[in-house]
Amino acid sequence: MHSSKKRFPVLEIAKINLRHNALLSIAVAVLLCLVTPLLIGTANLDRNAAAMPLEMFLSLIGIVLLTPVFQPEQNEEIDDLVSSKYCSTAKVHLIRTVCSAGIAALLICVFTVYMKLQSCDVAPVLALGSIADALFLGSMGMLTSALTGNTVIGYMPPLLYYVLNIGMGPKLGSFYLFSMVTGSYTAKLWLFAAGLIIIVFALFYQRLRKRRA
Amino acid sequence: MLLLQEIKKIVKSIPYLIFVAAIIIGLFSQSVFRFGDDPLQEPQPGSSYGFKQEEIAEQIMPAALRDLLTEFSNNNYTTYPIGFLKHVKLSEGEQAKIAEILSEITGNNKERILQEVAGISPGGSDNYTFQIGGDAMQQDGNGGFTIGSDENQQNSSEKMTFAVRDDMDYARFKELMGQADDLLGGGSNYAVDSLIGYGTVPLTYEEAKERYDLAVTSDQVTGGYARLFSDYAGVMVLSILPVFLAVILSMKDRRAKMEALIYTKETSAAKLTFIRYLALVIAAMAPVIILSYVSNIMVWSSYSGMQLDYLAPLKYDFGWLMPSVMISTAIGMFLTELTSTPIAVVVQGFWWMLDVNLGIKTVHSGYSLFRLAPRHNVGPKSLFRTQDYLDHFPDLVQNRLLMAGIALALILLTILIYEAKRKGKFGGNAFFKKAVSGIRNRKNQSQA
Repeated sequence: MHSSKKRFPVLEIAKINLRHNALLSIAVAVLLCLVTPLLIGTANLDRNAAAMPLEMFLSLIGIVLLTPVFQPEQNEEIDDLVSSKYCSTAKVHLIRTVCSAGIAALLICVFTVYMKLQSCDVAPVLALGSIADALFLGSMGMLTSALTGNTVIGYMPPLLYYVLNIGMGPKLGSFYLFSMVTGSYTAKLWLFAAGLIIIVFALFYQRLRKRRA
Repeated sequence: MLLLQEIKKIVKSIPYLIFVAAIIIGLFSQSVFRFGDDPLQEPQPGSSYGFKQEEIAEQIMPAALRDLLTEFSNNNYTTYPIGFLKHVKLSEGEQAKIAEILSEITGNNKERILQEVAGISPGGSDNYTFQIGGDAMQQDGNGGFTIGSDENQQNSSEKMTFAVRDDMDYARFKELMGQADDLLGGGSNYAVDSLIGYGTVPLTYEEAKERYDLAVTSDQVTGGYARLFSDYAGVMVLSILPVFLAVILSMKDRRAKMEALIYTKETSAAKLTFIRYLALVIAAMAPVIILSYVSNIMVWSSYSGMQLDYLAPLKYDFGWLMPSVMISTAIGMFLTELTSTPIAVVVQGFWWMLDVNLGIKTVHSGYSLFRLAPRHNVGPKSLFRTQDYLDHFPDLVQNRLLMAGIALALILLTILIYEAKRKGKFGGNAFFKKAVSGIRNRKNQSQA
């Protein structure tokens, strides 16, 4: 106990978070990975066609994993209890965010390797592009969840944005989620950068909100 | 009045504002407020009237053969088994069966087709010694196809010619293509129902005029636009977003720790649940009705002097869109009451995603029994496809009634669960919690 006070127990927090908070989200994310090959072809695809399952399905993992990052403290009783602890809630949120983003990236990479084994022409850039999509969608969920204090509302904007991408297509320019299907990769840089900025903003906003409360 | 209170509670909430913004943005992105830019025009003799698909054997057979040959040579077949795109690669044995089909259609020797087109030596393992397709495949003047290859030309000057046999019976051709589709796992362009896609003929003036007259008399113009609006509104927002309103409202009591207090009130479970459901459906439908009229009114001035159906948007709002709102809302309320979690968002999201993609081949008019959002998207230029709509109207009615019926049944179940919870007989997600805590305890014990 004494030694844990000296350093911030990052691993313990990550482990507890995985066991108590993220289990359902991870289960849904894994289910999405398992169901994708049943719905869409994931074998013998050329580079552009291989982008479709990654961009259109795997990117949704970001919404599932990142949106509920602030959920536990949205329960007032838990918030009161957590506030009384010496651990900074902001740091706990940061650890959760890194964990969720890491799991999302891991699942996308594993799926890309699976596609490679299925004779698809996949490359690391496809995995990175899908991670950028996942981060961007997840960041929208995180920000809405932080602004409204309600995780369920947080799921709405990213899902809407996803629908808008299906409806509007490349008209969304640098923020078009499915650009790799057409062989374009530059939009992913914008999505990745915007995703990171929004995540940082959401974390800061949550911290400010907490201080004001 | 409880209903009014519930409606007020919903419309004053942030999720509702997001919901309304989503409808406006979603519909704006599909240009539903600019239908007037492309008005319905009476066909004039001597112009082009568009195309239609027709089962013309002479057109379908060579076109389908060309596609099958190309895909066979690359061993890369495109299919849509359940709506999503799938690329199929066949085994050597299955390729041999396709070669058999090609052999019967063209009269060429099966082994030679395998060897020369797919690059498989008879009886040997995969041996793709040369690539066929692209420039190597040429169409001759008789609708036949010639395959040539460098190696083939080195070994022999003879070229293989592919053309549908003169004595090929169309019924047998369809049968063979059906077999090819079965080998591919279904959902290919060679499926018996899909072969018609290879037959395209220009519309005659009389046919175009008939379509126009039908749009004017049966749809009274505004009906066609209302249908197009409903197609976009249903698929873009109304079959998915109402679930959020339902989940958030249903979880509100829990978040505010008011659940137990409400259980003690006199209002019956049936009354409270049904009024909440009604409030959610009314709140979700209100902006849709307004926007459907905004979209429709914009075209009225383009058709002055014609008899228009001014109630068309309202008819489509209630008949076409409301069942989607009802089922989406009911799933939200039912699963939230059952599990006390927002799992309904995942369930409805998954169904919506499947529905959107499953219907990709039936976007022009797809009203199958379990469609969440029926599709009828053809634009004003195709004169609303009124005949398709009329032909499949009974299917649409069945689908909409089924969705509304399931929605009401789910609300009935929600009432039963609510009543059981009130009496302390059902603990919502207690079962799930118990299961999860069981796993954790086992883990802790094993660690100890």
